[in-house]
Amino acid sequence: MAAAAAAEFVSGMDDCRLKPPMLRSVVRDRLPNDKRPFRPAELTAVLSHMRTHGLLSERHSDIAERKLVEAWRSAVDGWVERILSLASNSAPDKCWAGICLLGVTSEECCPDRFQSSYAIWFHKLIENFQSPSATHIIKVACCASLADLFTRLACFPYLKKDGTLLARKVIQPVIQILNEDVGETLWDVAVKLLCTLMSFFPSSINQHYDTVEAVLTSKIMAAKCDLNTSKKFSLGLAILPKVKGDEESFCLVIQKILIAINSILTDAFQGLEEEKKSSEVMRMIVPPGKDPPPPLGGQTLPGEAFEPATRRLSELLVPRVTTLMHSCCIMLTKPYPFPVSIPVRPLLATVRRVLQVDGSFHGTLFPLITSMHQELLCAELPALHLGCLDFLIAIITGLRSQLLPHGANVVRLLTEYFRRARMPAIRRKVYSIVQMLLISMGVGMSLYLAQEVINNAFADLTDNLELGSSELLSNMQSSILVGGTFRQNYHKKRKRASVIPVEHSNGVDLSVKTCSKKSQAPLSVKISALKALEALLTMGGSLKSECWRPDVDFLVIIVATNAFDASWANENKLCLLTDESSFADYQLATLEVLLASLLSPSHSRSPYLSQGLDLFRRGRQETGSKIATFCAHALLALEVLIHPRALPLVDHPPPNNNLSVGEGFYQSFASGNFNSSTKTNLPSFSKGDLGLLDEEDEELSSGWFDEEERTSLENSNLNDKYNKTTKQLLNVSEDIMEKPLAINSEVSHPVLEYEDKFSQNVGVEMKSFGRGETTIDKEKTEESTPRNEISVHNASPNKMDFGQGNSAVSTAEMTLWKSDSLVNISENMSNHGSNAPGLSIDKIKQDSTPTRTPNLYKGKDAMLSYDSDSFSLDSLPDIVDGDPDSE
Amino acid sequence: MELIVASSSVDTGIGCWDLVSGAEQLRYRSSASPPHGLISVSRRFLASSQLRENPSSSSAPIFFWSWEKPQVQVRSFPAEPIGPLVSDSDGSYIIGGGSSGAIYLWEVASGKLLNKWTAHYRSVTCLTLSDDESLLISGSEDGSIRVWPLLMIFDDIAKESGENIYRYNFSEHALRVTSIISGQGLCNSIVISSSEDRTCKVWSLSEGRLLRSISFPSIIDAIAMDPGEHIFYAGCRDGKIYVAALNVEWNPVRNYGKFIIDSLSDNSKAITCLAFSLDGVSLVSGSEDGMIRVWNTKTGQMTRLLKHAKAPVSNVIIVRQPSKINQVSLSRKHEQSLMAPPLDKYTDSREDGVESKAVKMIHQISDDFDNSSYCAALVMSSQIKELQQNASSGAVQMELERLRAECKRSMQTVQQWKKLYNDLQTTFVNELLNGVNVDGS
Repeated sequence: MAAAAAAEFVSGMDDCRLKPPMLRSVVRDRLPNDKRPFRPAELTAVLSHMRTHGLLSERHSDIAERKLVEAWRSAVDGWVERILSLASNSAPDKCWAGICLLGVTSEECCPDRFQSSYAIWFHKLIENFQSPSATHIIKVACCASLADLFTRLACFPYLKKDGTLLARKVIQPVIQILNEDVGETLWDVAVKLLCTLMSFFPSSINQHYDTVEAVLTSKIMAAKCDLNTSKKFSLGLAILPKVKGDEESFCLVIQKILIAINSILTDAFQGLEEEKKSSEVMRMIVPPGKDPPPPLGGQTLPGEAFEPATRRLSELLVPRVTTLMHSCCIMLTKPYPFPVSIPVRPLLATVRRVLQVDGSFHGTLFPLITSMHQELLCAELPALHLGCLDFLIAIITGLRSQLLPHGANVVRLLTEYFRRARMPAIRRKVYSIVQMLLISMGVGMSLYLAQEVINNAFADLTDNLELGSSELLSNMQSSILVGGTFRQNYHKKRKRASVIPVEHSNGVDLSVKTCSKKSQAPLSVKISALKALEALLTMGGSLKSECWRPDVDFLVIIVATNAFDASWANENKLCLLTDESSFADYQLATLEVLLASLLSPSHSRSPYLSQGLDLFRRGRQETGSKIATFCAHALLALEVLIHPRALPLVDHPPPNNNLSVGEGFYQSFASGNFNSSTKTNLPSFSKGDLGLLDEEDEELSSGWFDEEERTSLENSNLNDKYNKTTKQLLNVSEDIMEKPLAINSEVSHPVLEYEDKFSQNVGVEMKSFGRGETTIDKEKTEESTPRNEISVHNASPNKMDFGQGNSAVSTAEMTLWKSDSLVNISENMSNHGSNAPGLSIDKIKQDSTPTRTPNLYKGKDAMLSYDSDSFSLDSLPDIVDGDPDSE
Repeated sequence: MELIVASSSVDTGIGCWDLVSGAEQLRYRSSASPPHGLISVSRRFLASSQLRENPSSSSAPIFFWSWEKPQVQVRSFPAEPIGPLVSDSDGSYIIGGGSSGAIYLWEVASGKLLNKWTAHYRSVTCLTLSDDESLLISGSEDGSIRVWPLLMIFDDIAKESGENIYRYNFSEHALRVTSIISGQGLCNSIVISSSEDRTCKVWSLSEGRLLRSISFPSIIDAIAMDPGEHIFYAGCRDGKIYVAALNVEWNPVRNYGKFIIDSLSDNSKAITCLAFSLDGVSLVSGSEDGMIRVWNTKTGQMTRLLKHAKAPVSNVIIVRQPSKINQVSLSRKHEQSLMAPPLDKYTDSREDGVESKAVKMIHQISDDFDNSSYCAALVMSSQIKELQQNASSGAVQMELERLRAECKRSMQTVQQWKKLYNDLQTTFVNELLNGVNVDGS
């Protein structure tokens, strides 16, 4: 009984045994036949039924079940038989249904069945296709089904010859259809069929090559079809070189297309560009001394000859040019089975030509040119520019690394255009090109594009920032101050920093921007600006970025904070206002760029880390949103900054043998001075301390500052030690700073005042330590004084015995500090100090550490110069810093 | 599968071994290459610069081998002997350093010499590309190291402005630079250089300065970085491979010198070249005694000893499974397209001509199926919609046809009925008449 039941019932919806009966019932109950009338709705159901269940696939999970195999095969036999009879039905609707289903069958059926019966199906289709009584809708269905049949046929390489024979029979009628005025739907599938034949059975087209080119060109030039169909025409033109399958035909086609584009442009741009421009570009396409190729599509364009005069040039301009450009795009980006050579310079010249026309009159006025013409052209120009930018994108993506020789040209073209571009859609596209270039061409590109990206991003992103508003002030006091300072610094620096000359004022003049609120960039532009900025920070965040990193980091944190403070609440409201990009997308983009800004290595530790972490933490709680997902990812990524896994490469004394303490020390040390910050901080600290020296010392030190370049070997050796002692203090200070604060935001306040006083990059956190401590930990103020004294002692090696002196001082320090919570740190310090095999010299050379007068050292040479051999080569003057070439 | 590929400074051919099994593969003939003169161009083919046959000859060729054949496939004759070669990962360019201090940049697909510039005063000894392949780092016999943004090299306008086109010039090395490698990281990567002044120096690309200098007991000729960049290996002329610290702590227990952690040694002659495998464990070294040694860096043991030749090994590289070597034999045409034409001797004189600026692309052969999507089902659905709404002329036309057919059918029915009616009538009339006749009779 149980066995019988198991045989009766299938195991579920995936059971293969279900399928034969299902197919039979479809054939029996759903398909129209001689008696059953045709109902379109039912056919939809049949179609979806078949495709979801794979009723025609005849794929068995279990080969052994012969019964099932047989049942399924007979069911499909029945289906095919019915379809074929429908296809020969005289009633047009039933015939149509049969033809369509034949197409679906050739896609879905099993390979064996296809191979055995494709010829029959083909003849059935071609019969209908060519019958004089075939209606429009049947022809459409025939084309679609034939295209599918050939596509499937291409999956069987050994049937290629047969396929080519069959394809030859189709070509003629297809071309005929394209030549007739039969309406867009039919053209659409006909060109689709043509493309299929060209890409899979190219040899069948060989003798019709010119006809195909002519017919496609006339269709493109007529510009009667909508965008989708035109794109298919351009695809057809682009795969035409596959028919001949060699490099020359590819070059010829692309050359012809370029000529066609440029001659259209010459007509359109009369009076709006320099006259010689056209011939210049043409000379690039066809080098002097060579015969120009015949025009695209043969001698006469049939479509154009009968062009009614009513259609204006401007009406045809954009569809023609963009379609032709789209052809080029496909040719550039799609793979061809043979090596191709791409004429990059003419392509770029064409792009440049279009982008340079902004609709203003140029040079001598033609009498023909009316303001009417200008007006019409200006209306079309944005679309033309957008098409042209797509073209540029295709050039960049198509050439990949081989863009390199032309990289500088592309950048120049783009940056010039960027300064003029105003329209949101255009700006968005330019930003995306910039992003693409930065990511594909790496650091080298960021050297070129940094300034431009920053200028534009500042302009677009700061237009509605409420800088100076009370809300912001309360939230980000320190940041505002930072902004204030670096705005001053910025101009100072820019004078010597900017590689690319900047003509127009950039957005750093926040005060100006806040006034002109009317020119607000739409959200979508802001998003792409953020994305470009992100790419810049990712690729070139640390190479030669000293002059712009602080500004950008500041902008990023401000934008991100604003995006979040403004609006957890009114997210939905804003969604309705902007059609394409929601505010949530904007927030996401700000977070992405913030992450890049925090992660991208810079020469000093990011002052906004804690604010950033806070934002990410808040964002993570927006359950279920993309923002939450991203914030979780960001927190993971930032974890490395908090617990660095790598030690800084910059030389420093290694820890002592007791690793347990040493490790802890290293962690805090490394996190405090990620990478090079320690080093740059050192001099400032000592400078600060100099203030505590007595008068004569100060005088001396001012003299030493001048001499520091000529530091002698022994000096550097001493310096070495000297550095160590200061570094101890530094470590302490870092820890003090981190423990109570854990957040650097307040620190950045004094930082910049300091920066004003001293040179730009120096000593950011050091000075802040001194102040931060007084504000944070009042109890320590008395202690801080003696410690400063110690630092003075440390800093004056002439009073000390260096062999053991370090540890002695450190322990002395320790005794002073016993009461507070920093005992183990100072322990580290002493370990650190006593084990001092010496820093490599290169660091010291770069430090502007005040040095003692040489004569003070002289007596100590002998006992201090340990390991002096290793220094002998290093002590050559370092000319890396401030290398005039690198500026 | 990874292959060890090695060449020698004397003509002993190029040896090829499977890294894992140690089985020797094809040996490519006739190559005597200088240090850093052997590369695999995006795994498509092998390229090697050659040493001059005798010191008096003014030039030396560059040879290409396809993976399948032992003979030299393509011979190029540059204007001067080329020492180091480097190629980008796409295999678009080959860059070579000349003995005069000039650097040559060729396009692989066309063989064109795209650019040539004087980079150093003395001969170029080593070349490497930064991680993102936008910066070229060159080292010279005079000890200088220069960093070139490749974009800038082609920027004629910037060149005319008289600026130096290099980004950095490191001159800390006192003697000939023997090897340069570049680490991971987009713009923040490090570069390690070794020199005959017995030091290795670690540079920061982003800051353009020296980070660390490590002195070794003898001259270092080869360096290789551990993939995690914790340590690096330095092959020394005293036959040892020293392990130096980058991102690890250094315990001064062993007496090697500052930052040197350990050493690998097999009592060999001077180490001339090093390569690190992608598995992150195997280090391959070539030595002056003509042997190639494979080390397990985890255990510090030598795991394999391969004999290349009696002459010193000058280059060892590790190549991942060369593309398509094991697939069905390629068509002749395709095979040729994988091979490159010879490299030009001079830059094209028609510098401004259009022809010379055309970029030649070799596409990876792929089955292009993206415009091959099946369309019948889609067309059918859209037509059904049309039919349901009678939205298009086609649909209307079909409806018309249908109605016409129906009309025809109805007409036929009418005719039939009519005929039937007539028949019936005649029958009845006849019967009636007959009946009357009968009655009447």
